[in-house]
Formats: sequence, C-alpha cells, structure tokens
Amino acid sequence: MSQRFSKNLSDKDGVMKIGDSDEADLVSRLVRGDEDAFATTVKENAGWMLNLARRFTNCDADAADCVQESFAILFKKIGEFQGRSKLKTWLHRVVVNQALMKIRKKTNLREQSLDQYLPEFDRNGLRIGPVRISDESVESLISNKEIAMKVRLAIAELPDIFRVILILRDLEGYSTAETAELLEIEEGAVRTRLHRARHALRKILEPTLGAKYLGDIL
Amino acid sequence: MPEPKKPSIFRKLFRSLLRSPITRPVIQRMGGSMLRHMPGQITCRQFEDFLVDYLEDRLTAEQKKLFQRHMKVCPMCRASLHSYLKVIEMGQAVCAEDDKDHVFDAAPQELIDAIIDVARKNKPK
Ligand SMILES: [Zn+2]
Repeated sequence: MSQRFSKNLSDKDGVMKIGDSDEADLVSRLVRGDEDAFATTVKENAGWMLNLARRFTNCDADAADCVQESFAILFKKIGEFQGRSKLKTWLHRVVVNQALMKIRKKTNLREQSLDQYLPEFDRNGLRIGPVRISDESVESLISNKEIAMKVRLAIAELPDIFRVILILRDLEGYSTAETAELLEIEEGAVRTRLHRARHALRKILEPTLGAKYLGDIL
Repeated sequence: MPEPKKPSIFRKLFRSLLRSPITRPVIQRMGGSMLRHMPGQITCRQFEDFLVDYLEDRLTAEQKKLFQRHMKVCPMCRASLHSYLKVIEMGQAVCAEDDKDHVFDAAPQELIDAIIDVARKNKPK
C-alpha cells in the first residue's frame, strides 16, 4: 500500500554504491568543513525537511526549529557519518525524531481518543449504515485542488498521536514495529490507533468524495 | 470449504430486499444473527477487528479465510473497506504531490541563511 513511500527508506541499511560517489564527495567536503558544501546541503534539503516537519508538528515555527536542529545535529555528527546510509535517509530520521520530540513536549500523546469516528454495529455485530462508496479514481479526486486541500486539513486536524501514527505508517512508509519503537509504545497500540486514525479520515472525507450511499447503488 | 455459487436470482432478490427501507432493517437483523450463530461466518464487528491485521498479513490462515468469506457476502463491509483504503491512498497522493511540487513553499531564505550561519560558526576544526 505504501510501497511508493517506503522505497526511499528501504536503503537505510544499504552500503553506499558506486553511483553514490557524488554524495561521498559531498560528505567528505562536509567533514573537512567546506562552507560551500554546507550551503549546498542546506539549500537542497531544507525544503523537503521543512515540509516533513510541518506535516508532523502542524506549526511553521516548530517545523523551522526542527529543521534547524536537524542540521545542527548533522554538522556536529558529520565526522561520525560513515556513509552506511544515504545522507537524505539519515536526515529524514533526524527530522522525524526532532518533530516527535517537539510534539511530546506539547501534548500528552497517551490521552487522546477518536472513538466517535469508529464504525457502529447493531447488537448482532452487524454494521449500521450509512456506508458510502465512490467510483472516482484517487488521481481524479486529488486533481481537484479543493479536495486535495480537504485531505491535508483532515490529516492536520487529527489529534497528535493519531496524526503522527498515520503519517509514519501510511505516509512515510515506516513499519508498525519501527513506528512503535520511535514512539516508545506497544505495536498493538500503534495498530489500534492507526485503525482509528484511518477511520476518522474516512469519516471526515467521505462527504467530499462525491460518494453515493451503498443503498442507492445496490 | 469453498463458497457455494449462489444463483443470481437469489442475489437479485437479496439486493432488492436490502434496497427497500422497509425490509432492509429486517434483513440486516436476520443476517446479523445468522452470521453470529453460523459456524464459519464472522460478524461485521469481527471483520473490523481483523482488518488491520489482515492488511499487515498477520491473520492465521483460518482467520484470513473467515475475513475473506465475510467480505464476499457483506456489501457493507466491502464498501467500508473500499473507502478506508481509498482515503489512505488519497493521503499518500496528496503528500507525494506536496513533496514533489513544494506546494507549501520551500524553506524561506532567512531560515536557510540562519542554518548556514550556525554551521559556519560550528564547523569542524
Ligand atoms: Zn459486514
């Protein structure tokens, strides 16, 4: 499901290959304290890092802090950087960690609930409607700028713990085990909350999907 | 145990009963207690409980069979799963778009300058 997004993470333990010689060159310049190399690295990466941090923190100032702190860590630890992972993959992890620290400082991640979005069942365990479905493709839905913005807002409006788990698992391609480790919670708790987050997103977005009630199309 | 092929006339009747606001609740209630008491069938609630594990391929072979069988017979759960997955895909599509186009503008110049400045002051000796 999230293959496209795990691709850039899958090489996190990979050894550097010949094609990475440009990066090896950049890293050795960084280690030597080459100012141009610093500038290049910041210019090339600050944009996506800021995007990523903003997705997690929902706050421009916090996101900027995360990026700044991540580069501070990079510059401090560049001497230890052995090229065992790609620079970008390494930075990705650092930004995620910084963002999680920021969120933890602000909220108690444990005390949040999304029960109101869960599906309902009758006393026989049968689903209570309405259930809506939409035949429109994801591409065509998203090409509508208004819908795309609603998706962003729906994700942004999730309570912190649910948003963070949804981003890590479904958007950034981390596994359940990795997510549990990052958040220092049980894997079961990741799954339960992920399930709730997805259902909340579904409930919030359903009206914008141009969906029909199931009963109307049977 | 393979699912027996149902005659399409039965399916048509079933659908029309499910479509009518009068018979629908009755059918649902009957269906619900049937599912609850029938061996080899799970309820919609159990289907939901299995869902995340199904998607992570963590169900036992037996549970997987139950899950897939319920999906075959229950249009409500099918539809629910469909939109559940679709919304995830929409989130992924929007994020991919944002990362590609920097819909939210790239880092402001002041931030870049500040970071480079800090790096210059702290550069390795
Ligand atoms: Zn069902």
